[in-house]
Amino acid sequence: MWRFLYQLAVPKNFYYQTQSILTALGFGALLFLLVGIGLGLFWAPPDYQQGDAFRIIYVHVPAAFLSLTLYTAMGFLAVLLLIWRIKLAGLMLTVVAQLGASMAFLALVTGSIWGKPMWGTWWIWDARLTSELILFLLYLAILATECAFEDPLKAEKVIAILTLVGLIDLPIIHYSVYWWNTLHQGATLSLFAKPKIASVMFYPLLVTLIGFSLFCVWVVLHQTRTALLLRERRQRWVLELVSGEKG
Amino acid sequence: MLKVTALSFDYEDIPLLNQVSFTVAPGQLLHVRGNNGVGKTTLLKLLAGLLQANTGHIFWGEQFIQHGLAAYQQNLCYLGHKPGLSALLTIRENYRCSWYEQDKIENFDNFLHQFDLIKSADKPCGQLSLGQRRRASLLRLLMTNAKLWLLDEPFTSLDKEAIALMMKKIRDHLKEQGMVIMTSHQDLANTHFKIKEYCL
Amino acid sequence: MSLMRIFVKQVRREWLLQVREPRSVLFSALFFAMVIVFFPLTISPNPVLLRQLAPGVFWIALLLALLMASERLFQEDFNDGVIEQWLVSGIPVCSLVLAKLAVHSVLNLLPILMLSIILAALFDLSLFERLVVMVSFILATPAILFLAALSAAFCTSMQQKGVLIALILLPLVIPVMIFGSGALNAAMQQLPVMGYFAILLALSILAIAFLPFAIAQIIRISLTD
Repeated sequence: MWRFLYQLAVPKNFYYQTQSILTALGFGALLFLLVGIGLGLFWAPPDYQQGDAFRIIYVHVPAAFLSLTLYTAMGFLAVLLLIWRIKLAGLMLTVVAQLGASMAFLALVTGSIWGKPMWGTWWIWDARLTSELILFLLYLAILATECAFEDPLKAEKVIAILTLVGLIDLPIIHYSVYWWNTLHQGATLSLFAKPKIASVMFYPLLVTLIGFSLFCVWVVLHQTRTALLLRERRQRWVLELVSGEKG
Repeated sequence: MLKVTALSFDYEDIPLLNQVSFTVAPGQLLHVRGNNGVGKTTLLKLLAGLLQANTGHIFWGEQFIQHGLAAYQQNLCYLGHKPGLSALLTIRENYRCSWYEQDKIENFDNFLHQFDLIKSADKPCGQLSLGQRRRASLLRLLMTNAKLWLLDEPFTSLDKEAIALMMKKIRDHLKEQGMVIMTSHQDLANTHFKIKEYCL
Repeated sequence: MSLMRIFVKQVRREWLLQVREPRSVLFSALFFAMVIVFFPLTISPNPVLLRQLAPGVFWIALLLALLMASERLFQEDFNDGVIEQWLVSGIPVCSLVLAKLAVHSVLNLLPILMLSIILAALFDLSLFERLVVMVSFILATPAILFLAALSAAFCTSMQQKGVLIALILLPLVIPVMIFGSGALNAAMQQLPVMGYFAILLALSILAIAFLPFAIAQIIRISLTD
C-alpha cells in the first residue's frame, strides 16, 4: 500500500489514477447529500424544544466538522511537503485551504441563522461559535499569505509552516476560548450543548456528514488535478493530453 | 574542489538556468559571463546555498552540498549586491559584532588601512559613499578563512586603485589554493593568473 | 566560534542597533499610551465602567504596540543584506533570531511597563492590580513578540505588510490575550492569579523554545529573492 501511495505522489500517475474514481465520487456525494437532506427535512420529527429550526444542524454540523478535519488534513499535507518534499502535497494545500475556509464560513453563517430564532440575535459569543470564528480567521490568514507571494513554490512552503504553527496552537486556542466562555457566561446552559440526540435525528446527520465528506474529497481531487495540469504544463504528458483531446 | 552537474533552475515557473555544468579546482578562478538577466546572480545564489536547484547537483569535494549545507557554507564567503552591513552601525561595530575569529578582529585596523577606510571606520555605514560601502563589504573577504569566494560583481562602484587592490587580493587567495567564482562585466583577460570562463 | 559567543555578539549588535535609533521603541510605547488614553475619551469616563474595561484596554494596547514594533524587526536587516549573510554563514539562524528577539522583548517592554504604572491611575487600579498588570505583561511579552516576529517574517519582503501581520497574528495570539486579561480580571475580583501567571509563563516558554526554528525556516524560504 505504501508503494501505491508513493506512486500516487508522481503527478502523472495521480492525474490518471484519480480520473476513474472521480465520477463515482461525484455521484456518491450527490446521492448521500440528497438522501440526507431529504431525510433531515421531511423524515426526522420536529424537536420538542426548538421546533423545526434545529434542522439546520444537517448543514451546520457537517460544515463545522469538515472545517476542522480539513485543517488537520492540511497539517498532514504540510508535513508531507516539508519533510518528504512531495510537491503534490504543496499543490493540494491551497486547494484544501480554500475549501476549508468555505466550510468554516458556512458553519458560521448557518450557526448564525440557527441563533436568530433561538436568541433573537445574529451572533452570540458562544464558545463553539467563537472557536469557529477563530478557525475561519486562521484560514483567511493562510489564504492571504498564499496570495502575497509571487512564487507559488515559496508560497506553498510558507503556508505549510503557518499551517503547522496554527495546528499546534489550535488546541490551546480552543481550550482558552472554552475557558473564557465559561468564566463569563457563568452557569447559563449553552443552547449548543449537545443533549443526547435521538437516533431518528442522528441518522440523517450521519448521511449528510458522509455526503459532505465525499463532496469535499471530490472537489479537492478535481481542483488538484486542474492545478496539476497548470503547474506541469510544460511536461510532455500534459502536452500530449491537451493535443490528444484537441485532435 | 567544486563540481556542478546539470544544474537547472526555474524562476517563478520561467526556466532560467538549463543544464549548467562546470568544475573549479583549488587555485582556479571561474569568471561567469553573460548578458543582463541571464542568471549569473541566480547561479551564485545557488552555489551559496541560498536557493535550491530544481535538478542537478552541486558537489563540494565528494559531498552533495544539500546533505551538509551548514558545513559547506562555513567554507565559503558570499558577496552579493547588498552590502551586508547595518547602515546604523559603523564599520568597526559591524565587524566586531559579527562572528569572525578573534585573531582577525585584532588585525582589523591593518585591513582597514589596506582598503583605505581607516578614516571612515567610525562613521555609520549609511553615511559612507557607495564606493566606501563597497570596500567595507569587501573587507569581509579578509576576515574569513573561507576557501571559496563567491563574488557577484565585486568591482561596482570601485575606483581604479580599489580594483587593482581587489585583483591583488584575489591573486593572493588563489595562490593559497583558494577558489574564486565571480561575475563581472569587466574584461579580466589580461591578468596574471589562470582564468576559466563560463558563458551562460 | 562557539554558539554562545555568537549569541552574545548578536545580542550586542541588536542592542547597538536599537539604542542608535530609539525611535521605533519610543513609537511603540507612545502608541501604547495613545490607545489607553483614547478609550476613556471615546467611550465614557464613568469610573466603574472604566475599571471593567481596563483589562481589555491594557492588553489590546500591548498587542497593538508590539505589533507595531514587529513590523520593523527584519526589514532593515533584510534591506541591508545582513539576513543574506546570515543565510550563507553556516550558523544556525534560529540562534541569531533568538538573540534579536530577546533584545527586542526587553527594550520594548521597559517603556511600556513604566507607562502602564502611570496610566493605570487613569483606570483607578489599586497597587496590587498594577503589580498584576506588570507581572502579566512581563510574562506574556515574549509570547506575543515571538508570534509577532513569526508573522513579520512572513511579510518582510512585501509592501503594505501591516494588515497581513495583524491577520496572521490575531488567531495565534488569542490564548495569551485571554489569559492575560483574565489575570487582571481575577485580581479585580480578589480571585487568585497565580494560575494565570503560570499559564502565561508556559505559553512564553513554548514560544521561546519552538518559534525561533519556525521563524528561521520562514526566513530561509521567503527572504531569498
